[in-house]
Amino acid sequence: MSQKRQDIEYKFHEAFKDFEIPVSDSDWNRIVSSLPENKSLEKDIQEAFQGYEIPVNQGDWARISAALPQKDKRRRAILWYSFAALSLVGAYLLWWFVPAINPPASQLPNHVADLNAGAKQNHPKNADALMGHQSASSAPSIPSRATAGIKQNHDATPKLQSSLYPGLNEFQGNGSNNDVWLTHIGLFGHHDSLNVESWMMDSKRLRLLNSLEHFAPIAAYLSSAGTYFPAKPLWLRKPMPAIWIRNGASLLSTSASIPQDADWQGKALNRTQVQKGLVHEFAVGMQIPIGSTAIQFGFGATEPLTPLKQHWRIKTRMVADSIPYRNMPGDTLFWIPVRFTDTLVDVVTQFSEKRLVIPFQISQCVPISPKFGILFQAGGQIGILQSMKATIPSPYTDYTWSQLQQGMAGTVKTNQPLRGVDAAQAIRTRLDLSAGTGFYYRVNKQLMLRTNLSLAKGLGPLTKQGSSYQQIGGQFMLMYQW
Amino acid sequence: MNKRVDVIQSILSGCRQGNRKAQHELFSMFGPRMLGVCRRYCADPDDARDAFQEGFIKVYATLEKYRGDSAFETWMTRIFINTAIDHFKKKQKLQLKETILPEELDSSIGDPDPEEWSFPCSPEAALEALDQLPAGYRMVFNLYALENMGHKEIAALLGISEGTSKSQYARARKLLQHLLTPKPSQY
Repeated sequence: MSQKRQDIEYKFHEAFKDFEIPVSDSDWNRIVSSLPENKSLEKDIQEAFQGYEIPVNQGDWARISAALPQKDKRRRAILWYSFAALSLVGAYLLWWFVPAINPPASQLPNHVADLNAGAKQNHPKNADALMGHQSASSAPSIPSRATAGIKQNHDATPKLQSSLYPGLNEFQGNGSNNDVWLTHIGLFGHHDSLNVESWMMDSKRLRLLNSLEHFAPIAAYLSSAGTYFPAKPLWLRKPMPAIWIRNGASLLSTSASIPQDADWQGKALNRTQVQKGLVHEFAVGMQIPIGSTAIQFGFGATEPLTPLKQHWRIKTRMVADSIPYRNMPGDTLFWIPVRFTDTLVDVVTQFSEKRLVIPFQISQCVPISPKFGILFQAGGQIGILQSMKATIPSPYTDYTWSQLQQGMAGTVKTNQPLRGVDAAQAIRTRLDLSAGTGFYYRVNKQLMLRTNLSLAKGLGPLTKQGSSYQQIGGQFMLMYQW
Repeated sequence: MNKRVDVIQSILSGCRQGNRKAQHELFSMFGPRMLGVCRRYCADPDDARDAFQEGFIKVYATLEKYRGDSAFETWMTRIFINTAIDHFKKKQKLQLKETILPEELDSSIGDPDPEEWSFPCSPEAALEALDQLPAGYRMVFNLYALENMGHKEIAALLGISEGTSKSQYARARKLLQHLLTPKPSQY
């Protein structure tokens, strides 16, 4: 090798001795990304879940917030409760005050003899008017069965018995059955929800026209579909199995403007009848969850103690959606139905009517502590009633629907005469309002006690002559969930 | 970082007073993350949401007990994990004893590759794989691999023996590796 060539090689060698081209991170990353890593499975999965999030929505928050106690609402809740309690007391006092304006039936002269006497004493205008249209001799004789029946049935109402005209007494008794729609009282507290429920009843009479007629049942089938609004997200959740016992009573006052002696005078003189009675309600029920729905069975009786009326109900509730009842820190939430369908079978006595009732209700449940809370309820019902019986001022008011229709046409003579124009069919609309409040106390996560006090007022006419009612009642409920 | 801590402290203070706005802020801040945690433990998304909601209610209810010894998120995460486990236990009895895999699947799982070459996977893929694990495997794997708990602690938490926890974990790992290894058709 020549010296010259060696020099050239040396020069090249020297020239590239420290030769470098800078490399970037991207060059390295490109290499790394093409290589599998020798990492553990755990690391892979840890990295996969690093910062892993699932979006939450308003439905999630609504359900959580609905179950949270709000400390800053306590004071407001107590104020509301005080207000509600005062309102109830005030309304109750008013309720007692009303009879003083419209004297109860027992204080009004019923018998002609009383009328004559009363005309000179306390009721000159009424008496004068009445005397112009009737006389003692024209009054029909009262069958002994009716009188006996009244005595049997109204033992608990000395006020009613004090009236001397049993026919009117009987009417009053039946009137309180026929005229009064027992206020719909909700069983559950709900959060910011409005309950709209409709009932349809088509009565099928299974009556026996005998002396036990008061106890003969009428079977009725009712079906209803309920929902609450404003609508909340459809939360399909699992209701808890539950059983409960409910017991309650209401004081009932009815006032009705009725014609007096219309059947034989052919002309009615209106007067206001006021009477009070006690309504008792008892029910037991259970809820069986099936998947995300539940069936409720309830069996109970509504019994106006004066006069007799029996009311048995079997209710099946299919629950579609539920919301959490309230929070139980550390425990499972409890769910209450917000969308449901009810089927009711009602067995009542002494009804000869068809009715459509649309109850509505707002309930608010305010937890004060994890165990204790307050219930507020307000609502009412709008109803349309097609009735005949309620318009007959006679002791013989227990006719079947068809008999009444035939009686109207004058084609049937029953063993108990239909009298006068008041056997007409009446269709009436009516608005009833109610408000209530109460407490609930959760003994443990399963057992809950609830009380409820409500006040109801019937507005507008129900019978041909018109009537209204006031009702104050309370309920006690024991509920066991698991 | 300190600013975030201050914000959290301020929110917690509001929550302790029952302030609904503060409670909502806490929900917005940690909700998605905690729902992700619940989802890892619950195969059914509805169950995950149930546990998530119950967990939040527990957090609000027990906030007084948080003393700041650990990061709030850590404390909170632990509540959600416990809630998810409780929820699952309540819903159905945990099959934490040795779960017998279907024969077909069992035979298809070979021994783990000693080299353990694995490939990065997405959260969705990881979740899909977790969803295929029997409930007991899933719980144990989550607690051991992702929450870094020891088998003793896991055993106490789930009410099983330490040996069961170990065997469950080993089988979970084996199954996951099988599920997460790309199949030839995926290359």
